Amino acid sequence: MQMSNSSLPISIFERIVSLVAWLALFFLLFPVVLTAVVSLNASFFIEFPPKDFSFRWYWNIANIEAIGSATLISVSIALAAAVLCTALAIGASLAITRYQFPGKAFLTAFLLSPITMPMVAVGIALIQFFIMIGAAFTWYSLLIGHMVLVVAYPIRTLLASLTLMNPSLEEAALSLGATKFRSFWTVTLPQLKPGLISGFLFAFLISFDNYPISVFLVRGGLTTMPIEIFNYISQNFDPTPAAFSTLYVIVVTIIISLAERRYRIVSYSIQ
Amino acid sequence: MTGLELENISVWLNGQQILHDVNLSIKKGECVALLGPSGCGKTTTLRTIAGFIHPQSGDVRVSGNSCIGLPPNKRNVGLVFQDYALFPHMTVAQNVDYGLRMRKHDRKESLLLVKEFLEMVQLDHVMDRLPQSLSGGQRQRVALARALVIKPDILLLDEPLGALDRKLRDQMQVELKQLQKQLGVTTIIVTHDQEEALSLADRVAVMFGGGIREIGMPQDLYDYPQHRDVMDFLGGSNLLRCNVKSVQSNGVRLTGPGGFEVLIENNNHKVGDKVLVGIRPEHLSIETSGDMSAESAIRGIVHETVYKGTLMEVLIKTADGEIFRASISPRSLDKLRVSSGEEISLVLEKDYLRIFKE
Repeated sequence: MQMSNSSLPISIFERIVSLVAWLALFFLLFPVVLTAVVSLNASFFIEFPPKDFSFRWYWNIANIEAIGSATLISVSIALAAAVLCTALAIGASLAITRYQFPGKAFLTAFLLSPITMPMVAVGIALIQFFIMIGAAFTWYSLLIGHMVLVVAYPIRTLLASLTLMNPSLEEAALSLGATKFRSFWTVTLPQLKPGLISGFLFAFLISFDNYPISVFLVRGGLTTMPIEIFNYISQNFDPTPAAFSTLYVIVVTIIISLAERRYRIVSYSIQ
Repeated sequence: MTGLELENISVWLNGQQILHDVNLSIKKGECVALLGPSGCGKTTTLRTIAGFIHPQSGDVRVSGNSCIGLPPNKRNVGLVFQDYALFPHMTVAQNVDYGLRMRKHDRKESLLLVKEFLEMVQLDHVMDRLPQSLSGGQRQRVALARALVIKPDILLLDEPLGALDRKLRDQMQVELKQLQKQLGVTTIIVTHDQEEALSLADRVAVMFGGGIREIGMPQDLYDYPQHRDVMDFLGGSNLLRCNVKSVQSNGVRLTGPGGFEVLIENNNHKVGDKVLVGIRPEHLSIETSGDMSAESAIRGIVHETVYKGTLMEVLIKTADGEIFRASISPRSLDKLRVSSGEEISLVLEKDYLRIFKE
């Protein structure tokens, strides 16, 4: 009996922690589940709980204006931004971790700052800049805007990978006769794989569903998926966007869980 | 024939001089240990030989050819890191093969070489495993095979046994020595562990403050050190502050603490000189009975006894409060039946007395 007495405070503490954890999980998942349920609603208006179930809104996705071309642009922008930013991030993170130079702390903070800046401000700054240089409303200016937005993510994950990497691995490669380039290619890069993949995925996903920056940079035929979804919502009340969002969540979940299973990217990003 | 020569190597890092005119000459096939406390420059010396550090002055010659300015990958030096630095994403065989691949060695021949060297370290059965799944001792051997398969001119070992537990250390010590002799590769071992240095190397170089203080064969260095810090670093010592009492035709007579008095064959001193007399704890013996006036004895009381397994350490305090250490076998201590506070005399073995200038 004495035993249970002494362990009582711990068990109350544990209960509170698990309650908070469940609440947080519910808070995070509720909108997703709600969206999925609404997407299966047969009625013309969004209502909860639904009276009848149907897949009809999934077939209606094609009727969202320009959804095909907008999604294609979103994919092409996200892919290009993710590839370019990951490549740039390799250089930046190597410079930050391997070399000492004046202004290093400032550069690091600067490169990581887009994460903390209000996106509307970034969007306004970008469009003013692009108008000034006469390059506004082009695919390239949209790409550069998205690169500014996402470059911090691969830098972050690669900084983690590089800090975790054993520095004597490269020296071992050099002492075994590898040139600097070959030791980077055969030893360093494979060690950075989890950071590269998670950084790439972060960059891709954050670019893909960005609204607040894109809204300043698109016009006319140049439009992205989130913009068109938002336009549709402002004019229609049916659950088609919910159907689209549900599909999107399923695809992303599959990609992330595959990447996690193979490269443990989630555990990596937490470090 | 010389395998490796270091001539007046000086290295500055971040405005601080790390190495001061290091000179070292190693015969082909010889195994030399660089021994010293952390910060003495031994690792810097190793990294200079490997080519990761370029000295501000001096020359490094391998088989007579200077390799100043050559990058590490052009030096043909086999390096075994303290943490082994095995490539985690490659199998054991791929790790060993790496150096051969970088040298664009014939593929067919490489496969045979990898197998041969893994057999040599008795690890051919784990060829296709990843390093993470190996034990510490196995990783050490893979690292060794990887460094040796490229037939290096020089093999550099950085604290090779530091990460292994006691039993494995003893076993690897023997294996390492056999392998080194069998292949006849010129080897440098960097270590702070005196036992590792004394047992593995043909010669030991003791380093202090960025330079080699003394170099010699293990036993000579241990028994007849020329410097008192070398003596102290290698196995510990007692130092007695002595005065030259008289100069005689057959030597000088020294007096020291605890009524210590000895006649040594030495004629470099004059009356009144102060000298330090060093003696190792194992070259002291304890006497309890009668003959308290024996020459070269220190009188004192037993301060404390410390059990150290194979040996017993006895701390003896003289009347002026100085403490001396004697290492004797627990059996002989039992026979003496001494206990704390008891008055005894310590007899110093005259042949092992070392005289240093103060």
